[in-house]
Amino acid sequence: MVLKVKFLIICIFGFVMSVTGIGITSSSAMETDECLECHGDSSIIDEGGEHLYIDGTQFAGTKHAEDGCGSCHSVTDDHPDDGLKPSNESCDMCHEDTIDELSKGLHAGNAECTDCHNPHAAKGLKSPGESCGMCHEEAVEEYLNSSHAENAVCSDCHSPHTAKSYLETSGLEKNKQCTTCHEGAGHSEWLLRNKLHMQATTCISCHTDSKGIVITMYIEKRDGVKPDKEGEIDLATYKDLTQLVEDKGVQSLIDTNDDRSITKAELREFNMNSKYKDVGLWGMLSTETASHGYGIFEDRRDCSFCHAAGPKAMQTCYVAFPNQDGTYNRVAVEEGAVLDPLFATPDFYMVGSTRNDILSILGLLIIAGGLGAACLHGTFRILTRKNRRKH
Amino acid sequence: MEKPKMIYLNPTTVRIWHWIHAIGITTLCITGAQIRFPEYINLFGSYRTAVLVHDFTGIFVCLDWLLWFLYYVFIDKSLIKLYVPNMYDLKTGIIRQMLFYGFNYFRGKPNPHHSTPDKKFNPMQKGAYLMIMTMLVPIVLLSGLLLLLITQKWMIALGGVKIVVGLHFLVACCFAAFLFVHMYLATLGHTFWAHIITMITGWEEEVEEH
Repeated sequence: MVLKVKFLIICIFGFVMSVTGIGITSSSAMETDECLECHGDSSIIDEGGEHLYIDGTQFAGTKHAEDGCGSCHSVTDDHPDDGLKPSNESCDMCHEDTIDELSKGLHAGNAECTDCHNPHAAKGLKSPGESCGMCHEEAVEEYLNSSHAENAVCSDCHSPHTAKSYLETSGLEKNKQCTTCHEGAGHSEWLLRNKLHMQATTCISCHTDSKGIVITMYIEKRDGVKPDKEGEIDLATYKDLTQLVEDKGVQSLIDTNDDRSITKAELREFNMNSKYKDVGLWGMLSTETASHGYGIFEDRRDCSFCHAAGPKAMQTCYVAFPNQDGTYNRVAVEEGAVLDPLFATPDFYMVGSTRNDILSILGLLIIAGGLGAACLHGTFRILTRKNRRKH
Repeated sequence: MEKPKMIYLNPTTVRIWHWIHAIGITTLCITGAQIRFPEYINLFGSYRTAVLVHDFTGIFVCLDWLLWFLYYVFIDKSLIKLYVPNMYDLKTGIIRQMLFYGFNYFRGKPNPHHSTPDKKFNPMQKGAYLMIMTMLVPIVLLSGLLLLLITQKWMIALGGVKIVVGLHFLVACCFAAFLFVHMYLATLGHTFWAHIITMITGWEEEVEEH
């Protein structure tokens, strides 16, 4: 009974307030210009209200200015004497799709919109140092010291709303970030098999001093192996692969015993299984860590940097399986898989570096056979020369 | 002193083809060795130079093989006559020739084969050259062209780049082995230089066996 009376009183109070216009109002009723009379006056900073100051000129240039202060903040008629803190609308009221995107990325739970954006000033992000640098201090410092910093900001390559970790991003996606600006980058002047190198190497493997070169294999679609001229790499999606594995996880396509580790035997089984003839493994040279110290390193122009690294340098390999959300999940492959002579990684071969020792020995034996036969015959020839003189 | 009887064994086209092939295959073997074993072999300076020389020489040798094929099939029309072993070669000729190289040569016995323009090769040479020119050379050249062009889908259709590379490498090793044997056998004429001079001038001294 007491609860019902309280509820009735609240309803009547609310009705009276709304009819008379007394109480909390949106600041749009107050008009943006009115707000800026105080909040746009820099003397507010001297009075200890730095966080309350809004640069009217900057604000006028934003999309938010069209909506006015009242679209996000509500104040009472007695503001600021009422001592109440104005309400803040959340960003998802207007930016629902972006917030949804953000909630699926790495930044979800780790950063607020206002950590990167100033809704009163900038159309986009705050400066790299102010936004990304708040958390990614080391990367931003490294980046700002590189020549790249003069031409691009973090968000030109990384989408903060769909942030993925470095190892969860495919090599082709990484390269796509670079080719947005550097399409047809001038490698063909000096780099042999230019297109193949671009498809089989991540740009940052050569253009940064990132450490730990490994080979990552992605599953690509091959659709009946029709010879073509373009030879573009088309990576299979999670949905494509679920059709092949039916009710199992996509990883079971290769990791048949589901032990989170892939053996050479499992790779051979996958590559020789006619059921999977429309998919195959595409290997890319990538790095374990990402450095932001971009540059052009002269030693990378020497083919020997990779091709004469020796077979031992190319032993670490992963298979990256696509996840439902577009990220990739790496599974380690038995050491030395890329050195297998034929079927473990039949389509990945780095001339010189991933040569197979057994084939090399077999080849050298063939040569030795020819040389040995000539030497042996020659020896008997010298020893029996007297017999031929008689004739 | 009586002048030795000379026979014209190797026409100019054949000699040109042969020496282009000889230089080409040797260059391909050396550059190929540097490309596969760059840590141990560096005869052509940079790795890039070795690859470029290998690529251009490979194309040149392809064209040279075409010259051989066109000459023997359409111009001289002697491919089958010179290169394909006949029944006699298969039944007894090859064995007699093997016996000669492996046994009778050391005993000072005469070579059972006498070269003439129509029967230039002995039965062993016929079999070896036929296999080399119609199987091994096309395999190594076609696999090389595939590796040069890197058309991924063709590679996949053939079982993968590693099959093509492995085949290319092993057949190339056969050529390197053949080079040693071939160069050695070239010295087994009636004099050390006889066969080599023939391949330069085209003329060979006919030797009467006793």
